[in-house]
Amino acid sequence: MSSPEKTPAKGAGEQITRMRPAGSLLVYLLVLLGFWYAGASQQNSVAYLFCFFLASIGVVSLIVGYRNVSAVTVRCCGVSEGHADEPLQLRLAVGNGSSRGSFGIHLRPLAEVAPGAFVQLELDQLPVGEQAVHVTTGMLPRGRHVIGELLVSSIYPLGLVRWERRLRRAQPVLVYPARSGKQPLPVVPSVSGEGQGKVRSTGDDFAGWRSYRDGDSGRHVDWKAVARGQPWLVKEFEGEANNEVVLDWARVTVVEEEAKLRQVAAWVDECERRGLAFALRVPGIDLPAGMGTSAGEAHRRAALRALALWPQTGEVSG
Amino acid sequence: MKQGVQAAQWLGPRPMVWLGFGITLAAAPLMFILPFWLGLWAVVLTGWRVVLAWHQRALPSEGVRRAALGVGIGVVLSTHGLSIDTDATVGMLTVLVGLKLLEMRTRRDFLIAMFIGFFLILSFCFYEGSLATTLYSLLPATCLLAGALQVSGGRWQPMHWRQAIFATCRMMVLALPLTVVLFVFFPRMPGYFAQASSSKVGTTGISDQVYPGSVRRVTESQDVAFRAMLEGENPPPVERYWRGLVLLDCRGMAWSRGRQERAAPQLVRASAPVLRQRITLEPHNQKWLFALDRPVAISTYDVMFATQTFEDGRAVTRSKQYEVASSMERVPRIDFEATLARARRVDYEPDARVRAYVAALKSAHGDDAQAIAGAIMQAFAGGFTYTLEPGEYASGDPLAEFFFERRKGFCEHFAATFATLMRLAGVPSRLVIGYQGGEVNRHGGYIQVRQNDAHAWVEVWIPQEGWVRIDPTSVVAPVRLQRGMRGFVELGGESRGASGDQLVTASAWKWWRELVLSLRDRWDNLDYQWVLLVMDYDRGMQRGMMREMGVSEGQELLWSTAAMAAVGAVFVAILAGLLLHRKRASDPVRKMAQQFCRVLKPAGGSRPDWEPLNCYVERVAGRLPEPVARAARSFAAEHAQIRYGPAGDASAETLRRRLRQVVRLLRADGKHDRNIVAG
Repeated sequence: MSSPEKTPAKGAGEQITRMRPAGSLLVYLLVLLGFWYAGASQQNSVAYLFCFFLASIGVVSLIVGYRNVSAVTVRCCGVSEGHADEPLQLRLAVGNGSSRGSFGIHLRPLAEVAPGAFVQLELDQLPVGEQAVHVTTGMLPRGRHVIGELLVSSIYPLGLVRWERRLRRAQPVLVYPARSGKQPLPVVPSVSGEGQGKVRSTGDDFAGWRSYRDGDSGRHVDWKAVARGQPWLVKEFEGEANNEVVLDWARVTVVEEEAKLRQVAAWVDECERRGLAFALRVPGIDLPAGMGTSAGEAHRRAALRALALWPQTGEVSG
Repeated sequence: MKQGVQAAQWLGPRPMVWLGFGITLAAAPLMFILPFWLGLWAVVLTGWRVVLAWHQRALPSEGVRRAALGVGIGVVLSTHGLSIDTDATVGMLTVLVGLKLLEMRTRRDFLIAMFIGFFLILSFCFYEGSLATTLYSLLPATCLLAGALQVSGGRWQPMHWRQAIFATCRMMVLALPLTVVLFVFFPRMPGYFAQASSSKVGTTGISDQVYPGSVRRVTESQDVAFRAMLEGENPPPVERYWRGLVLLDCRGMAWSRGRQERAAPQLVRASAPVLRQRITLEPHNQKWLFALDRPVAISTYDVMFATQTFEDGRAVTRSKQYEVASSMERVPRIDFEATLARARRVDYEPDARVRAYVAALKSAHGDDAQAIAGAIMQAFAGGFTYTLEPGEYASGDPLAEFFFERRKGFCEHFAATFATLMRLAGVPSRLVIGYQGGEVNRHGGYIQVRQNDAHAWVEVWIPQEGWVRIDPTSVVAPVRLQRGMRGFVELGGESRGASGDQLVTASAWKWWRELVLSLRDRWDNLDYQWVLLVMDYDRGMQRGMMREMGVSEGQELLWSTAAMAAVGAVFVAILAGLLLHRKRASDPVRKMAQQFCRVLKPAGGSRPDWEPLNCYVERVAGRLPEPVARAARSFAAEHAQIRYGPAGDASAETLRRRLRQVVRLLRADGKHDRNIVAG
């Protein structure tokens, strides 16, 4: 499922700059023609002067537009990871190398597997200096993808042409399986033998809030609070951390492999929500249960990464 | 889907305000040229749209817009009919721009409205191409362009108006050199491409009819009629008679031009003094041309009449330049008998008093033309008033009313009466109208003649002498001739014969008047240069200039194409230079990081490009003295915070302070070390 990483034909960071005429360029040229006709037919020097002035401004606008776009610098910061059923966020450091700042910049990462997946980011004012921005994507399929290019474009200053810069960036993105499936969590008696640690289905004891951190699942965000304009908070639940769950591929009743992966991912999610330690058994992968609460997040990630890359195994750099 | 597209193209209120300013400034002057309501229409609809945009209200429904379109087009049609002339086109544009604004939602709509705005500016320049107009039109143009900048500069966080104006002005300044090159070298179309236009230019100016009040009406305008650059000395004001038209048909006080014979340019003695002039005539929508009395030859292919006047092939609707040679000698001294007979004809039944007066003249002086003229002038000198307010002469015989009753008049009253009386007495005479006087521009050295210098005088045929100029105004109001119309007005605008005491002017505000006049002259000179260099720059001038640059005949197109290609090459070179040359980053944070590494280099070693700053600090911290290492770690942490953390926690200023601290600690440490070594 995951596409083999393509090394960009040209070196990373290399760019291609293009000028694409906008529809209004035609209108502009017609207006110039009209002005010229007015000057020629009436032998009116001032009309000629206006025609040439407008033409020169058009020419200057090409240079201004080019400088506006070429001043933009983009760096990728870190690997983005997320589930296939939720939008991904890509962290970028967008800067401006000119002394004046840029205007009306549109930024769109182009993923090779799904070119249209990313939402175009509109940066109206890009002052001198660098700033961190997040680009939200649409849904990407499971696996490891490389965002090969970033498209920086603008129609500033007159909207006659669109200057486009394609920045080559080899930015890996890891997409975990989507979470779906109706099977209940397979509960196994704990090894430590503290009785039948039956997981209560209603055991999501609400423990409190903590502030949002990058990578937190969107499901736990207190959206009502966000809608009220409060800062992003994540709901925490108290589960029975003592119970160990084995998420075994063999126990999934669905036949299709992708559906199995989705079910396992849903289980991982549920375990995390309930604070259960879990072991993962998928063909080729045998992940023992993580130890201690601090290992929880790292463990979950390791499990999800393994699911994302299945059937390949191996580490993701970054 | 359509909704989505419209939302994506949505326009904020700020560009609308710019567009509103631009269109209003462009349409406002048209109010005074086109029917008033047309300009008002554009201004009101623009204002309405701006208010709607500002308060984020919905646009009027399609029915309302259609009704407005119907009304607008209907009124334009009813005003201009189905003719497609300049006025109708500009009228239609004005109607359309208002409607376009009312249905404007997207960026594309904005650009279309902006371009219509440019056409409005252009149409104003069509009517008035002067320097002042052109400078004024930069105002709406700046507003429209600033709006376009705001539109294409994003919609969530629009550019500040100062940014937009600054960027627009910068673009306009950058565009100037290219504009000049294009203007000078872009090939002009030959004249046959031109189309006649019916335009409202120059409704002021003298006409070919004289009746009581006709010249006086012209003198109400302060507009420049023409400017004349003379070769050599400017003649004194009294001798500056600018000949325009000669009127031959006499009906009492009313004179008209009549049919005139054409003539060839005259020969003058080689030794005769000839005054050459280059005249730049403002458009007056008439055919006649002016020249210093009396012109003998003209540079262009214009018509010359036996009355020593000139005419253009068609009405002068653009400023026109021509060269004229004038001779002060009276030539010819003979004329055809038929011409003289025509110059004696009177289509007018004089009053009994007039008939009696002429009979008395005839019996006293017989056929002596000079004596008869002298007698009439004598009559004028005694008791007649030259005034700016002669009143209405509406009676059956205005001549008798003027000569025997009111005795008050302007130059046309005196001149027409004089010429008619001469004809009644059997002396061939004709009425000449044109301008008299004009002021020398003290900065440009040329003579500027304004509409209020309009004048009428008489020529009388005297055997053995030829046509002799006699100006009745000279005996009634010599001040008018000596000091020009302005001097005359300043002295009260009324005169009864020569009286010296009138020549004393009040001097209290003299310096102020001098200043104003000097500024006016300076501006007029600039305007004149503008006319010479820009407005009159045509195919002929372009070819003449290229001839001077050494381009041979027939190769102009080649060379102007070459010049254009050179300009294009320069542009491509600039663009290529921009593409190849990348400006170094001037990000302050990045600069400080670089400086930080430079500072640590002697103690800790250099940092390779690939190494993150915090890793570098950790690597070298062991080699640094403890306080420096602590400060360096803080620097790396703050740097990371600025770069990758949420906005607002750390600023470049804290980083700068931290950098200074690192430098200070390092320096103190160095000193300490040296002290130890020294000790």
